Amino acid sequence: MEGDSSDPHMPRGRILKTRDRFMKFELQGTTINFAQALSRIMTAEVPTIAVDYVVIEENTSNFSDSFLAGRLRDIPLTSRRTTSLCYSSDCPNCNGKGHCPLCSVKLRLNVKCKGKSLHVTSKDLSSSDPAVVPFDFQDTASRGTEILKLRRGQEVDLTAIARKGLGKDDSKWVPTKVVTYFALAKVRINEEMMETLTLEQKKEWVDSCHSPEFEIDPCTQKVVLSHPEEYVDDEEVIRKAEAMGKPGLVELYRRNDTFVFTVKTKGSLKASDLVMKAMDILKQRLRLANPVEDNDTPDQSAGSASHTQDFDEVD
Amino acid sequence: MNAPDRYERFVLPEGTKKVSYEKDTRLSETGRFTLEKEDHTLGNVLRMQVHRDPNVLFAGYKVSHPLQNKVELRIQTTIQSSPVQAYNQAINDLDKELDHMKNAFEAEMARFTKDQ
Repeated sequence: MEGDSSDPHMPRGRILKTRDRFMKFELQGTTINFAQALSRIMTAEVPTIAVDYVVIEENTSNFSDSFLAGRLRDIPLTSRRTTSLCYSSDCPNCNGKGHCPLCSVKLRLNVKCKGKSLHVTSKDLSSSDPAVVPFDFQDTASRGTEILKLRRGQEVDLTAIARKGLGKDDSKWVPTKVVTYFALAKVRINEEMMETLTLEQKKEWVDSCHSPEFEIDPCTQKVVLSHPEEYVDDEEVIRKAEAMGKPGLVELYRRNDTFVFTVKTKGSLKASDLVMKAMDILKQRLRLANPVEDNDTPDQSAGSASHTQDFDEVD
Repeated sequence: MNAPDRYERFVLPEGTKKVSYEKDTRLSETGRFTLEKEDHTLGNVLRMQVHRDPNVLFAGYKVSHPLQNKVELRIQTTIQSSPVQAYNQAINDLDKELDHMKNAFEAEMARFTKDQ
């Protein structure tokens, strides 16, 4: 019975905006469940590297050791190396201790305030691996993420051990700030009724919308929705139409196959890399869920079944 | 205190099967798949894909308890198909969909960076 069952969706992607740590894109021709799976994977299941363990040699600052460790764990570290680094729990080299170069990266922080005061930032961390550094390390315009401030004579000397992990395990490994998606709005304007409005009234109606997405075409004086992917439907325009005595002027509904995603990352991964990785991970997860073989053949082909695979019978 | 370890949510213990299949004793062409260490991410997307199969009469999933890290997916099909077949087909289709989407995305990314 191969081939007669469902055909796969063939989604298309359209990138609307992309920056280093931000991306807005549209997925066309898929389902909300797929969008949901993708967004869940982006927040919780894309591995990153974060400070997991801190050894404090010297701390004469005003802050307690645990506070310091808490500051360090929240600094996003560049995580392009995640594929070559293994999880510390199944590291073959150090039996899960998580201290060897195969599964961890050491970051040293050794600062002493000699002047009046000193701002210690993420730029003062020196990493054992040039590929795993605080996300704003190379950014000369940025001062770095502030860790603490020292007074004269105070000193901090510590080693932070960064490991690979999943956002599911702890929030320090979550690569994203925000992942949202919404179904694209579809707007149907009743053109006949729209024509009965004067230009003044049209302007009034267009201005009632919070986001400036409705526009009046200067040539034809028709009202059009210029950027549907920006339009956040708040039903304000419907209420305005009713108040103007023109119910049914516009109909709003949501397409159930097109989704607009907004992804912001903390800095450990580039937004575009994150989306790509999320797809890879979903694929990998599906692969893992696959090894079910069919010993329960339908009646008409019962004779041709050659393999006898046993399944776990669970009571 | 007595909270379960967090790694238990996603680390499959040695010797445990990722997927197990149990045939329903009362209905024909009906069965339940149990996916260990999975959650709504896969459960929801799989159920949706199984629904697209015209031979499927019923498909639903549940996470029976938030502390039990498993998803149960129940499928009933017509006599022309079988739950295992519908399940494997759904996974293959999702795999194809992801492949397609990834390629489309890479092409779009290349186009977008060139335009900039």
